[in-house]
Amino acid sequence: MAEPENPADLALKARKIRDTAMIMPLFGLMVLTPPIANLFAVSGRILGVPVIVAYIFAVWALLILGAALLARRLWRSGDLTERLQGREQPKYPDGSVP
Amino acid sequence: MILSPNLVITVSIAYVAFLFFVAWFADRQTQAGRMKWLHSPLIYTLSISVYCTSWTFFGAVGSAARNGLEFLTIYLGPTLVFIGWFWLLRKLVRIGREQRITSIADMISSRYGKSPALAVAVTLIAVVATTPYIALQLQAVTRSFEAIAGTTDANFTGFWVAAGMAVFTILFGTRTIDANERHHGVVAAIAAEALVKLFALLSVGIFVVFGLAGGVEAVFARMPEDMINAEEVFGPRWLAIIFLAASAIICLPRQFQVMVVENVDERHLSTASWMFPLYLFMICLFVLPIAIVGLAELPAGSNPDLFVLSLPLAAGRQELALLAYIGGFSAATSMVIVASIALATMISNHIVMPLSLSFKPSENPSSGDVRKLLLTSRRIAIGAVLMLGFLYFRLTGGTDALAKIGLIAFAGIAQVMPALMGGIFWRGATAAGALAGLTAGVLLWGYTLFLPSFGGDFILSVSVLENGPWGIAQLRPQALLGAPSQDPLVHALIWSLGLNTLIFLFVSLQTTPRPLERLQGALFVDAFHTDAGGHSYIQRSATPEDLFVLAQRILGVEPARVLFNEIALGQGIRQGLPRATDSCIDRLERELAGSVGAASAHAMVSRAASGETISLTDLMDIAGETRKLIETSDRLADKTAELERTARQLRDVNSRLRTLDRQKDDFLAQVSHELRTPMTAIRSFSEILQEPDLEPEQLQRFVTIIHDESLRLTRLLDEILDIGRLENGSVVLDAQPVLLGEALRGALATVAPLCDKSRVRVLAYDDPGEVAITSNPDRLRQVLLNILTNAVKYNDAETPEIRIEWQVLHNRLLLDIIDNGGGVSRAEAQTLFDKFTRGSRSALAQGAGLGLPISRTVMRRLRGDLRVEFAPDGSSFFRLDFRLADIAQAAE
Repeated sequence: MAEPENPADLALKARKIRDTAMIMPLFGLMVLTPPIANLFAVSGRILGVPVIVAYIFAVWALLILGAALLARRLWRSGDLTERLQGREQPKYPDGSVP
Repeated sequence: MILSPNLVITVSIAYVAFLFFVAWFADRQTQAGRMKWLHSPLIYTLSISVYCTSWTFFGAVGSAARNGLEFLTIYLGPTLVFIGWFWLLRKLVRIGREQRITSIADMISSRYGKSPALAVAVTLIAVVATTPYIALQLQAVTRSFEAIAGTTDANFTGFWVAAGMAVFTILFGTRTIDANERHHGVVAAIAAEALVKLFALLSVGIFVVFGLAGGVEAVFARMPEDMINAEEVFGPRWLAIIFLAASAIICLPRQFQVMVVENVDERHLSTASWMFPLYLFMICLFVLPIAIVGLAELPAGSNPDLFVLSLPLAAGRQELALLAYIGGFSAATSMVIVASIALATMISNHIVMPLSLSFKPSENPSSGDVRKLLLTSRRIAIGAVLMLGFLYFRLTGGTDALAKIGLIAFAGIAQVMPALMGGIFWRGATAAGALAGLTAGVLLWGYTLFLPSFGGDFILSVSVLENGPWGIAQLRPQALLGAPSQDPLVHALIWSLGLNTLIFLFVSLQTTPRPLERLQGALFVDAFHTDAGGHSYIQRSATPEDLFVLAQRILGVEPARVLFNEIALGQGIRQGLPRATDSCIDRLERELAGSVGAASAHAMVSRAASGETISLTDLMDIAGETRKLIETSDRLADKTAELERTARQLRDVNSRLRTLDRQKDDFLAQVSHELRTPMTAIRSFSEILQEPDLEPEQLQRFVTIIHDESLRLTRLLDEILDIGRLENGSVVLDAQPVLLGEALRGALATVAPLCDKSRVRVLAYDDPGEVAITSNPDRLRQVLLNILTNAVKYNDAETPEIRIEWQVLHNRLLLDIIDNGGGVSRAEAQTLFDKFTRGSRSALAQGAGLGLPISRTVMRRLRGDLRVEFAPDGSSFFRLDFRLADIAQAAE
């Protein structure tokens, strides 16, 4: 990563991260609702926990992990910081915020 | 195993005192300017967890005990909304900040042209949906108090809880009126409460799982088989509640308050996007185990809604029970505090303010009078909201399961969803559409869900519920149009939200938005592309004095002075009031909107300023601007791609040109060299001829040499011309059927003298006879002669031979001319057909080296080919590749 990256590639990368952020909830909705969730509604235990309970909590944990990773990458891609620049709240002459 | 009421009351009061301290401390820190820690994403996330009320704290376990996994939907919905924050929440927060939105009602009204009617409608919905929810919290607190401290007067407890919360909320929630001057104290207290309730629930959970049951496996071993009911839980109800919870996290007044209004930094959302789902995850982790152990251990008939409390009590762990009680208490208080602040803001901004504007004429204004009115009305509203909740609690007597009330409230507030979504993603949505949709949705919600929830005690009687009004079965509240009996919640949701959305869309399509609606619509939908503060689209005229008076009345003297000084400085005026330009009026309106809501601010500014016009060109401007922006960036992207493509092509062409250029230089050098050799001979011999005394035979010899050399020169020039013409295509070679046998015999006859001279033997071959190929007779002869001559000339074998073979392959004829002269190497074969290259075999012989290139060009122009092939034994030979001609054509 030593060589400077092409701005077009960077923009593409940032866009991909953003698109992933858009897709995440759809993916979550799909795996947490029927018919996919039904596939795991079987009797049986994983480490003593019913399969469906383990499945839902595992998916949930994965979604949280995914969101955390994405949030970090969104930060790094500069997507959040850049857009906020120049949008600071106006301030009164004495420095207080209106 | 019951604690003394006095102890519980003392602890409760101590806890409330702790909350007061936190809020007071945070407010003081803010005033001192040390508020960095208050502005952290962690505090923001914790404050959002006001979503987890006592309905979660106690009710989730109850729900799990009754309906198994269903309780999870309440937390999965918000999880999905939060991990999809980039899609929706980010936009809401951005709009909220730019438009100085004070509540969900303000958001809707502001979007639809600052419509006061919509603001009132949403406020009423919020009050109707939230009151039962507040009652639910009071009920939870009183019930938990009863459970832990034995019998008490429920009304008494409920009243004092409500009163205590009212005092707290009024103290810390109505210090200032500006939404942008956020309620730091309250937010800090809410964050502290979030930690308390999480800690309490986790403690109870860990105790139950590892203390009472003895491990995770042991817990689930005691689970009744039908409890999870996994086959049936994933049905329409599962989806419906996920959707409801997702809408609730966006639309509930208290959620909107902490997420959008109290947001200090848009970037905090990115942290909350995973941290809040994590909080929910942890809250849910022990719900199912507590429910299982509660069902197994506690006597049948125990209220599952109080398992969190009764399990530690039954086990004799009083301190844990007290902690659980405080957890539930904190969950209840945080919800009540935030919800009543949000509702009070809405009531004062959208109901009291417009009323006072229409009753009290604007003359004789005194400084800050509106401000005072607002603060007073908010305080009264907080008291009124809590009192309403208390009344509801007393009237319903609290017999319902907790979860039921929660879902009804969710479904009520979800009616705002279509207008909200349509408002921020669709420019075509109109105020009339939003109002019509909302009204229809709320009426249906009331009829199919809210009123039936009283079980026939309120407005709708039992007989109406069972047989429909006036006995019309088609109108039964829980089976409209005789829909097959399904879950009442799903039924109500489909009817109310479905019709709400359809009517909203239909009316929006049928009506034309007012100019202000269109302007606001554009600003909302394109929140990320337009800069609200940058340009003023509304033209108004006003005197600066009027505006200043107005600002004073609402903001107070000092803030108004500061604001006007700043505007004046921005206009380059050092002293005195600023000019009342359009952007100045706009700015003032936005500032006021932060205090009184968009609709009231607009109404008040419009009173002071007259002649409001929004020109169509301006509207087109804003639409055009964003469109242009999008188009420009699209075009730029296209251009970039195109430029890259062009650049690549240019690079390719450039490298090809370089090669060609080098080839041309080589060619010229070789041509000059080739021409120079005979020229030098001719020149030197003609110089000798000029000498006077030459022998006749000498003379004769020199002249012959000159003649031969000039012939060679001519031939060379002819060949160069020929290949030039062949290559640039200026000679037309007409292809016609040629009998290969004839052509071959002719060529062999021509080279026969040469063969005799070099003693080369042409081996007998299979005469092609009548086989016809497509070629040009003259050119074919030239090619054959060239190849055969080469085979003869450059053959230095002991007994030189030439073999000729041919074969037909599909529609092609391959003619191989093979000599035993040693062939060429593979490397040589690569360059054999370049101009002026002579194979190693010809090093000693004469020849310009153009014969093979010309032959190949001819063959290719005739859509055949000439190439060097290698036999399995490594020897090389020339192969001529012809197209077969039609037999019929050949016969002609």
